[in-house]
Amino acid sequence: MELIASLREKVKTIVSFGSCAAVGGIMRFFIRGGQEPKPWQATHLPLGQFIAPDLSVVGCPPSPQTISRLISSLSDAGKDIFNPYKKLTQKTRLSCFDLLDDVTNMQLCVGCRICEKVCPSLAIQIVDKLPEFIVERCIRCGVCYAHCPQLNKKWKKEDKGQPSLQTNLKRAE
Amino acid sequence: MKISFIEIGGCGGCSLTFMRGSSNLPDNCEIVYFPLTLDVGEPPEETDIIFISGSVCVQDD
Ligand code: SF4
Ligand code: SF4
Repeated sequence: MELIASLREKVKTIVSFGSCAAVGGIMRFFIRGGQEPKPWQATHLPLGQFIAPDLSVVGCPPSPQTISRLISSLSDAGKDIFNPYKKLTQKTRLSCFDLLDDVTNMQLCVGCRICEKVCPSLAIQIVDKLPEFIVERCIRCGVCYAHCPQLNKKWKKEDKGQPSLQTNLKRAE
Repeated sequence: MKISFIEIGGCGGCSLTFMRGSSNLPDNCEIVYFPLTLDVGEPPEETDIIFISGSVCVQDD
């Protein structure tokens, strides 16, 4: 960990890549059957608890399209196109609970089913135009959260019209 | 541009997908892989961007 901390001082851009680095991922959560780890069980921690990453790319694993898009845009690093990835660095639990907190409980959900389609572990079902979560199946990958178009719209507004992660992903295809 | 990919843990899926996603690199990019889990030495300090995959294990033994 000292090594990573020393790199933080020397390297301009550090990306926490994948859900293990971003939030602890399967190593931190899945082995607990979807429960929060007890303090004595929390042996796998996200990178963000030790150093401040600049960008966070979620996914278990992230898609190759996201990677090629990111790499081909690297000369833009630090510019606004990366804002959604910056926003994801502020999340330390990323899961269906974040989607509940930030989208459905905020009455933002429009029942578009995108979260249901992108969930790699079939932990989401849309019932009556709202997502229902099978928490035991959730591997805390954060993909549903990062792909929700309503959330991306909200970020876009906050960022005053800067391109969203959705737009970035579309461009990568 | 020098890119380093450091794997500090996890299942290895991130490394595989990163290799796949970075297979058509722009000409000015060079990628170096450092799976710290395999004890391959120290990653270069002269790098523009570092991708780090895996969670940090804080278990003592
Ligand atoms: S992706 Fe977002 S808006 Fe669409 S159904 Fe899921 S929570 Fe609702
Ligand atoms: S509900 Fe599915 S997509 Fe969302 S964090 Fe859990 S496993 Fe990932």
